[in-house]
Amino acid sequence: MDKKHFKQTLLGGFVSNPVFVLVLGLCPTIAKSTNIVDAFALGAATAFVLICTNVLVSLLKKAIPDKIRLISYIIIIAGFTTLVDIFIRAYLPALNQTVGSVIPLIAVNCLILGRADSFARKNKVGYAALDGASMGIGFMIGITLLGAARQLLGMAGLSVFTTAAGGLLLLGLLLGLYNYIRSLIYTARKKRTRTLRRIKPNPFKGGKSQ
Amino acid sequence: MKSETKSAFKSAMILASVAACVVLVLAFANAFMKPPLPPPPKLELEEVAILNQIAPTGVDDQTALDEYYFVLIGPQTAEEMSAWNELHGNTSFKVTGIARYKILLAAFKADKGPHAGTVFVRTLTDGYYDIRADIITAINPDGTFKHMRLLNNAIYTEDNYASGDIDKINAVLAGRPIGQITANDIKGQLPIVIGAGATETANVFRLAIEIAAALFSEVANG
Repeated sequence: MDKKHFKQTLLGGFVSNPVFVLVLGLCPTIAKSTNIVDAFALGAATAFVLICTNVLVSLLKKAIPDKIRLISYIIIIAGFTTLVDIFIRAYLPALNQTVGSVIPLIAVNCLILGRADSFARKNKVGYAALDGASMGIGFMIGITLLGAARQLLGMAGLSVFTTAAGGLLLLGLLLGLYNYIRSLIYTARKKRTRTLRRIKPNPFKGGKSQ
Repeated sequence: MKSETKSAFKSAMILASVAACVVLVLAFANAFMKPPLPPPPKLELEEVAILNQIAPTGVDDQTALDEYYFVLIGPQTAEEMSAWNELHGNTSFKVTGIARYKILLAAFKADKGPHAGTVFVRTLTDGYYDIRADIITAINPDGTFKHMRLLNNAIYTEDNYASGDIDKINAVLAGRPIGQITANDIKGQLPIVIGAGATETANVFRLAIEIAAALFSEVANG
């Protein structure tokens, strides 16, 4: 197993977070992140569809010709989305009352088609599933954070953040904060790498220790 | 066969196979994962209070409940209600989130008091996303329109739409045979600025009247 590839795929949901870095799937993110429960439910449903789509696309990558790959992926995504919709209507009627109307929108979430086309069809099933899980969990965390923030601000009297405009504004702020923290982590890691290279030079390059 | 034609045919077959597999799985899932039945209709103090306002019995709400001034009529169990709504109602969603709803929730009749014989039909009709119009329509014993009350709806609440809309509907439709009321009778009474437009708004009340008329004709015919 390629450890580097595994680590990159595993951390994909954080490094390239669908909500705060890639900025994909904003329609359901804004529409149904007015409270934490709805946001989490929608995030979980999206993650499920993403994982299943990635696995199936990876399994069928050699069978589906290039010409019809996007149409096939869309059919597969729509199928899994409908499956989730049927499940929620049957077993979670209370949740269906609140998020049921936006579940079909998962089928047009560009995150899912994007990952299927850019990753799943070029990698093995295991990596495709891992990518689906990582991106799905990243999306779930992103939408849940936004939902929690909007709900808390709404309860504190700032009802503007429960509207769509306020949601977009808050998303922008969280996006900025997320990327700032990410850049801090990268900077710290770079400094650490440089420091380690100075202390323990690469023996094959003939460096001297200080 | 030329290679291009062969390739196109192969692509079409693969696409059809993928679609067929997806349809099969969904058909299987649909057959085994049925949505639960809605709760059966009920008559509690909350309903009696509303009915007592529309058709006053002359007694307080608790007395009206205890002494059966109002009774449940029409479908009584969840199964009967579900079957009735399959026949006369409708539930579907459009992509834009407009919920096409036409559901009977409960039907009551005034059994005692000065308005005995009045039929009340409680319905859920069109709305947006998870918001639906909860309406009670009252029908006189002779089958004429008596009154309509909007109970709760985030878009069409009595606070946020132009005041007097429901009063206009009540004034225009009063005394008209319930089975002869059309969409045009209601449409002209509502301002276009509400919701998605007069047509959508008129639907909310038109569908409630259609269900009320269907229920009344069943009850009247025994």
